[in-house]
Amino acid sequence: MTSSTLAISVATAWLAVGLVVGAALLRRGAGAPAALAAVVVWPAMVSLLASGPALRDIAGPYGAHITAAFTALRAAAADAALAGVLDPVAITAVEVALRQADLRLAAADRLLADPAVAADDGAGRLVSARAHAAEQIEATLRQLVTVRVQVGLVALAGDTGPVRAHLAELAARARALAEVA
Amino acid sequence: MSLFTLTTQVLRDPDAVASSAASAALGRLAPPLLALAVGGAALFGLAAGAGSGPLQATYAAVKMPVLFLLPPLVVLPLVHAFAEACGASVPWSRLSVATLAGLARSGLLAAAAAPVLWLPLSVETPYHLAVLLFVASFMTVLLPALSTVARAVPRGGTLRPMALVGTALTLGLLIAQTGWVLRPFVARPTVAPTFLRAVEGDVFSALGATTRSATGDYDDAWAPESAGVWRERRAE
Repeated sequence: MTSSTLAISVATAWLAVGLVVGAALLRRGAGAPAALAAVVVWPAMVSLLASGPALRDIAGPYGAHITAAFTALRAAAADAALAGVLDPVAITAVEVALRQADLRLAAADRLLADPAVAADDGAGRLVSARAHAAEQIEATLRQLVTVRVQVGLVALAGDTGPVRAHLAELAARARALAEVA
Repeated sequence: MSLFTLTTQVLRDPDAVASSAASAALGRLAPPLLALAVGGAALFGLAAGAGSGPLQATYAAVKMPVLFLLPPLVVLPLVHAFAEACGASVPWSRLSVATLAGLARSGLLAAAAAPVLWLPLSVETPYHLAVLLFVASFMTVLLPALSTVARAVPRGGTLRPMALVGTALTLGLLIAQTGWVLRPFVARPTVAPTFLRAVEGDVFSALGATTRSATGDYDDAWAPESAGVWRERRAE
């Protein structure tokens, strides 16, 4: 086998797999640029096939607030003067927990929209639990604003301890949302 | 995010880009990061082949993005497996974004280094010295990609350094042999431009021979007797 034949065979096989991955991504609703990129770099994109729809694409009642809060927080974290203050993994963990709690609220809302469920004797408990969960989400969102204030203080004082502690507290609160729900 | 904004962010803080672990972020960031990596690598290839004429420059510009992208992508599952085995778990999507962000950063560095490489190659530098210069430049521009991927592996695993060293060694070997298979990037002055040369020997025997030739030792007895890493020896 000559080097040209070898190269053409390898390239064809690579692109063939890439085309399959790209087509599968298109069927799953990914954009055309992402599918096109997958044709070339499919090993990096293949994880998109395994994942379900992105959490941010299935928003509950607080979806827009959560998106706005984390966009602002990530913008603050991306500031060169604040590099290393906020752990991106911790931020993502809090966001995922909040979005999951938001989805559970949406599920509760859909149940309560059914007159038969709303008329049931136990519906009061569901309404109460829903209100409590919503309260917790709102409290967490308010704390995110506090984190941004503390990030600003870090820029001046340089002590990252309180911010890290606050973020850890938020992560714990977000994890507790699952138990509350 | 515009390509210009992303370029700035990739240069200033690639870790922030690499930390976008969500699947949605991977789908959104992959096309522009790929464009930056391919564009930069093509420019670098153009500079590497420019000393041998426009046809060789075009060949090198086409092949260089392949050399840039193929080894890191092929080794991606191994990086994940090494990290998992060493107790430093890293999500696949995060690893993918980090790899693409690192390659984009290296692509930008390659584009910036292209004129620096072109200058010595365009003033009739001896062939073997030119090859060594090209290899050294290529390894240098690839370092940012390696460091971005390394930083994407979270701290905490007791054997994290072992995972990183294992990854770097495997990637190094793969890049070296892929480059060897895809040669020539810098063509011999006496040979007509060619897209691919015949598969013979391996990169290590060739680098040894090139290093000796660069120092003026053109003894044919040093040439590889046959294919394989261990089969090179001075003839009696």
